Amino acid sequence: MFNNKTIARLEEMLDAAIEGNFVESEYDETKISRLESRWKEFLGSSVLSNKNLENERHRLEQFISDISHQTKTPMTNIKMYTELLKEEAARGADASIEKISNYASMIEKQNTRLEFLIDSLTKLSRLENGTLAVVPKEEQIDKLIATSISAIESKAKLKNITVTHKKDESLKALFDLKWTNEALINILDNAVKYSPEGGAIEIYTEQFEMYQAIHVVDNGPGISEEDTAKIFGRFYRGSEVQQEEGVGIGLYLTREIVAKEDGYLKVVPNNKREGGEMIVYLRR
Amino acid sequence: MSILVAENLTKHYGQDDTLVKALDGVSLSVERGEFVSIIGTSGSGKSTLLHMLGGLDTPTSGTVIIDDKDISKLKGDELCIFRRRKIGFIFQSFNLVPSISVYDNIILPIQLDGKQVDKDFVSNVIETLGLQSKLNVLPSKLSGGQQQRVAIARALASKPAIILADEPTGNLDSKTSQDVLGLLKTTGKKFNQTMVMITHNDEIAQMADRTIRIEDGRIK
Amino acid sequence: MNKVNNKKAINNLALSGIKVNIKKYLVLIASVILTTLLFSSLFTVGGSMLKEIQLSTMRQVGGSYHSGFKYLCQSEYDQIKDDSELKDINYRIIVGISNDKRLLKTRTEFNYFEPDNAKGCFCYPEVGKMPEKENEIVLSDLTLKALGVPEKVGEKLSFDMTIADETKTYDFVLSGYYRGDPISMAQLGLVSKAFQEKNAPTKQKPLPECGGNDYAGWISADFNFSNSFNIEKKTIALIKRTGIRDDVEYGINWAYVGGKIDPSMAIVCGILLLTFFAAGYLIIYNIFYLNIISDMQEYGLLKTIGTTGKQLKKVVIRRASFISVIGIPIGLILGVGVGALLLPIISDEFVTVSIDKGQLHMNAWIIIGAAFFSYITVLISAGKPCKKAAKVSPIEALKYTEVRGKDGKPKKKMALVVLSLSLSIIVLIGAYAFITGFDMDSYIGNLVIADYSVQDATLDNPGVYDKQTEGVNKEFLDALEVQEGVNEIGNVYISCGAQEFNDETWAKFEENFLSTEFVKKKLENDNASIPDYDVNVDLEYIEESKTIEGNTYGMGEFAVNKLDVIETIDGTDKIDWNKFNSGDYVLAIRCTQDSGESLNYFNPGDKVQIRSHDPKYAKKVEKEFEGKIIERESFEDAPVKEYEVYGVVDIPFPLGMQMYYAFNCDFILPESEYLSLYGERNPMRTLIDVEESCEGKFDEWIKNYTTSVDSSLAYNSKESVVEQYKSFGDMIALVGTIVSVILGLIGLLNFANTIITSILVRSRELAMLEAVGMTGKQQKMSLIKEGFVYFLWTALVATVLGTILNCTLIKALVDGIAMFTWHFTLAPLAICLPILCVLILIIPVVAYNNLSKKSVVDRLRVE
Repeated sequence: MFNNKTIARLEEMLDAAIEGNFVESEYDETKISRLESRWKEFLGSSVLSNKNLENERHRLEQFISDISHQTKTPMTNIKMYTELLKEEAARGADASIEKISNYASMIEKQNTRLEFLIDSLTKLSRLENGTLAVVPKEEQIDKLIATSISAIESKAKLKNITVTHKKDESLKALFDLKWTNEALINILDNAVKYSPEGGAIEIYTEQFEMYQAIHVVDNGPGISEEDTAKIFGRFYRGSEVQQEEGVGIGLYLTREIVAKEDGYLKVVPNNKREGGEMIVYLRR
Repeated sequence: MSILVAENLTKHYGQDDTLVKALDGVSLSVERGEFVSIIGTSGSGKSTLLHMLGGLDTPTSGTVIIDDKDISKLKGDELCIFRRRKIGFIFQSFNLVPSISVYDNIILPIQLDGKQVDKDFVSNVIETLGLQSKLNVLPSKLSGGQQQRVAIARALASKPAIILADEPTGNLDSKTSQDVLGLLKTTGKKFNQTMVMITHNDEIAQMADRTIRIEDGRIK
Repeated sequence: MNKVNNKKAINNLALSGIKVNIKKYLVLIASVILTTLLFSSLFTVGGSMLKEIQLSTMRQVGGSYHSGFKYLCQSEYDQIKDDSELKDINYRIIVGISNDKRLLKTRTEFNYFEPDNAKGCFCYPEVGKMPEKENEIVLSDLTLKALGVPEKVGEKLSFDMTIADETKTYDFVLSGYYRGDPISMAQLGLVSKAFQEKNAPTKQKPLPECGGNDYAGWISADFNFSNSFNIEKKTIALIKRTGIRDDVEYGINWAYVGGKIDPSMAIVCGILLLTFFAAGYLIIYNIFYLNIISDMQEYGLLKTIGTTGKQLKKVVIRRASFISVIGIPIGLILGVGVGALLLPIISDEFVTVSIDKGQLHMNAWIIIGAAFFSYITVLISAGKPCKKAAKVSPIEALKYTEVRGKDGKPKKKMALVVLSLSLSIIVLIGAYAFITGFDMDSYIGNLVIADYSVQDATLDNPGVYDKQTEGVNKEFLDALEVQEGVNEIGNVYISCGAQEFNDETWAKFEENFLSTEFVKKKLENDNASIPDYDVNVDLEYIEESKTIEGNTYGMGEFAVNKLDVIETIDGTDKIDWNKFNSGDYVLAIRCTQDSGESLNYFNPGDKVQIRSHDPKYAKKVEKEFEGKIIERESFEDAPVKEYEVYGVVDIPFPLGMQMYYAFNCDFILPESEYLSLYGERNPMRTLIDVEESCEGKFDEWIKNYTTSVDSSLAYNSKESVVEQYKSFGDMIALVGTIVSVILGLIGLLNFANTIITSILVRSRELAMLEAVGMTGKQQKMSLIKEGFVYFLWTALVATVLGTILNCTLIKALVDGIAMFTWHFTLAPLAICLPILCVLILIIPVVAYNNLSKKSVVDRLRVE
């Protein structure tokens, strides 16, 4: 079946693979040469999957430390307000109802934040390990935008921000409505967050042959060119924006969701235009 | 782990007075699955660099190691077969074979190697690039953007170690360019494909995970 | 090594490339068709002609078998018939020979034939069937005509036949007949087995045991080997192997013996083959080259995605094979058709068989050969472009533009174009020189000395060696006598052989002729091809034998008047017929060398002796020859008469025997003297002058006579010579024109290719020029200028080379043939150059107009 030379070469290849230093000997039209190339390809992809496993473990560790880090503040806060609440309550009749209700609402706020945080992390972890599948199908863009706007409308109103969107019911793209909604809300949320009082957020669509783009433009500070690659990292927050409410997990999650739908995000850096602009590209 | 390592690459044209140093000691490495863009003005040596990396041209000195193999020593047909198996090219001018259908173009590198076509994989690639309905037409019947998508599909279909894109949107209008870049970006991630793209345009370069800047034959 | 299989990709690339560029490939296919047409028509004509020549030899020999044994008895035949080396074997049994007055001229031999043997001997009945009953017989139409029996199966006939020395009258019924060829030595009659067994029973004992002289009853076995190489060796081996007696008489069919092909014909064929090969190569190569250049980018990008040079080569070869698969069969069919059309015209110029002349003889080798040559041409033509495609550097190809002048290629191409264009003109000059150089008067003067010359058909047939020199029979002369308008009749008799002299004459002959340097030189020249030839041995032999080769003619006054007189004893250049006819005189021929020098064998006034060769003095004597005792005819006892040489003459070509020996010491006697010395016999030729007013009628009569009354006779007429001249001239004009038109076409195709290629590879450059403001008109002007350079070069080369060749090679060629006279002419130049000039100026413009249909931007974009 095989001649000795072939067997010998196969063994050599195997030995080299075990050693981790396999390289093709030469390239020609023989089958053995092609086998070598495919062998190399296989080794490469198994290295890659090993690397992925490594990454996964690393990510899990990071995740755990992220959780402990991120939950630390609300937990401390809750602990602190609970202490304060207890102290105030211990004062009996002297206790100030106002303070108590204030502390309680602070606790509630921290709790909500914690809840959001844990909720986001759970979602992220489910998304990443695939327990919750993103199933893209043809949906109306308008529907997506409208639901997302309604989710942030109240927040925007608080800051007196106007959100404009030109309707066009004919537009469609391939996406998972629920998840993409989540993603778009994150973007809008950010826009609201970084927009000044009385600002304006404009949402408009653009059509490409392969993609349907949704532009979200605000008149906030925008993102600098050097930050464009970083903002999608987990728990990142722009340098210009000091700690405000919210966690940096949103954009990361957004990118993951859109990527699962064969789409991508693009940030227009603030040296290109005034204000912030984020574009979501969805497959048509 | 680096899939591509270039060390101290130089390429000189001419002699003495007319000596042109197209590349002057370039070193770089690209990781598996990475999308790297090399940005530089025209005449910066970026095309020469890409030709070296893809085994289209041999360097005056220095080494190019792709998938652990030093290709600066390969010659002629060996280099050709190496390209067929390891490199996917995407050119500014598409460079599809005009006489055969879109599908035949896509599977040509696989067939040249006498391999069985991995039908599931190829149809996944074709679908991802939105080419299902164009498979049986000749390239000349397609628009520029569509042709470039065929070129991307061709590069992906043979599962090369690395895809080299030379100004992939140079011949396209800005809207079509966005499409093609988006596809490059998303398919690269989707199929775990290492990509190196050269461009002179900052905005296009931004699409990559990492940007390498080249000026006067040197990396900045 | 175990190779990966990538045929599919290669095939796909190769075929779809053709499909998309079908127009380009149609041109290629057309050129392959043209090439195949050239080859297959040449092969068809050449092959058929060779076959026809072979067939004519076979008909003379009397069969198509490789070899045969004669005079076998039954047991001997049985001994050899099962030999394994023989492809087939069959036999005939000799019965008798015609001995009938009517068949004097049409000697007919009667045999019993096995049916297959009859086929092999060209006598299988075409109408009717083989004889079965005892009284059935198959004859040739010629025999039937001679017998005066209508060609009809069932016809009763009777004639005298000699069987074993016994002559009797036999009655037969015609069971079938076939077409006989006058070229054959004898006509064949086929009798039944029953007749043979009854009258000439098959011999049962070998020849040496039987003795006797009768031929009846002997078996002639004919056989074929598996192939026709070395037949003689195989035959001898067969004799040894089968143990048949050593002295068995065998005959090798010399139709199969090589060296029978006329060397000049072989050279012409070789030149045509080469020309066609070059023509095909030039066309196909150029179109391929053009294709490759226009596809350079495709090849380059195929390389970038990993197609190796070898694979690219395969793609090109596959494409070449594809166009061959389509083009060659079409070319073959067309070529065979053209060959079939040309064959009768060309066959007419050669003396071969007289029945089925100019017929197509196809065999597989002709087809295979033509297809093979065409395919080889395609492959060789594709070779270099193929290499170019394989070598293409991927980056260079992506921006391919031909480097002009620098690496000399366009210059080489230009040389090629100029050369092929000039060559066509030069060939035309040559052909024209032949056509205009034909000297009608000298030709006619050389060939025609009388209005008509009648002789036996074999006499002027160079293919026949056994000449009938007494062919003009009494019947004809009688019939001629009563024809109207015959002015003069002149007979020419001949007796072939050698001249003997008495000692005195011989001594004089030796002194005046044999011992001269002239003779030495002549013999040495004649035998230059024989290594170690020693002229002294030859001379010694002649001196010893005291004989010299020479014919004796007898001529009437009419013929004598046609002789070219060199000198006479009277010191005039006229022959006084009455004096010559007195019976005391003889005319002598002189010895002429190829160089034109001549020397008299005998001078006027010399005395010579001529011995009668009257058959009545003939007797058989045994003579020792090279150690063997052979029997030969001798005229020892015949009377010898002495004559005085009246004058020295040259015999005009159409008057003489047209068969030459080393020496032709011929003498001419007056008709009456000749007949009294040699006995009554038929003339070799009869010259006839006819009154002009009766020419038409006479022509009809003689044509009819020589075809239907006595087909053994042939005639030459002034008319037929003129016609022959015309057809010969026509053939040269035809072939010359065809060759020069082909060469011209190739030149123009090459030129067009060069221009189109140059426009294609420069299309960007041209577009760029247009973009910066160079108008189409200006561009066309520059292209026309480029074309004009080609024209100037062509005109220069054609004029210079044409003049040189015209004055040397063509002059030598034209003057080398007797009836041509060379004149200096460059008329073809005057005709061709203006046409060429117009074409050379039009082609670039047409090509440019085609290109400029695309917009500037499109052309700029092509990179």
